[in-house]
Amino acid sequence: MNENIDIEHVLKRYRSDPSSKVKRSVLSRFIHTFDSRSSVGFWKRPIPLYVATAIVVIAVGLSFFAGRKMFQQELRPTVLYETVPEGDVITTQELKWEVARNDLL
Amino acid sequence: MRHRLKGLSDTELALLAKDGDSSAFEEIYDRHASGIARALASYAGPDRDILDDLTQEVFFRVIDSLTSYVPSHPFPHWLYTIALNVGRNHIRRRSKVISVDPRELDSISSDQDPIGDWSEEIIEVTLIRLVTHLPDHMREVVSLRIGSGMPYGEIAEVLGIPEGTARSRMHHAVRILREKVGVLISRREIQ
Repeated sequence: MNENIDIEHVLKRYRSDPSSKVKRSVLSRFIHTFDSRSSVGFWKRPIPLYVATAIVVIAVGLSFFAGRKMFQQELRPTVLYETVPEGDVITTQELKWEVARNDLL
Repeated sequence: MRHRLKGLSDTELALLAKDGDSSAFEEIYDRHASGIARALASYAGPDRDILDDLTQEVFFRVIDSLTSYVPSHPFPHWLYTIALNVGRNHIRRRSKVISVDPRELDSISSDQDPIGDWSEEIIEVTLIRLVTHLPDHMREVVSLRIGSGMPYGEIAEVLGIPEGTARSRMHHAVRILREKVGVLISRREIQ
């Protein structure tokens, strides 16, 4: 009998289909792995130049206006301090006048 | 969707899978899972649970290293190289050698007719067990041949040996298997 066996053919015919559980597990692993990679890829993706430029321009603009406002607020009391005699009480109208005069001088 | 993939080569599917296409990967699995398990049976024997575990390990490794796959070689070569590595690792890990004892075969074939009527399944299982006892260099050729059905030229390429050597190893392996099957049948006849 053994002489009649086509060994290679018999071995190739061997039924070895893995269980459906293996397929589910493998596909689940694939999806999980590639989902994770795509999430990581999103965060590593370079930011477009126009977005970066817009962020920088907005940041610089806000800083400039904030700084200018603070500078103006600090400057006027200093000028008034120098031009108004110590101990004097001045009205709002007088204050405006003092500022205008200071600008003229 | 899957119908579109049927016409693609393994390598084309692998490149799609590399980009995260799960349908392409499923198609690869459907094409090769059975062959991979059969190739692994040359190392692990016919135990279904072990074959399931090893097959799963092969595909897990494929997933983990798919991004490094470059199509300089056909995808099946790459896939079966991974399978052979998993099979070799299994051989190293296992502490107990699978025995081919006629009494063990009795338990498999207890409800079978006498020797002359061994079912195809019993013959297949017997042969698979015998393959696990072949020397490594023969077993890997048998594994690729029965798992992937690769021609000898491709088997030679995967193993890095001349084609004539691959043919010769397969020829010797088949001769040994034929002799061993003969011995087992003779023992049963004596009993």
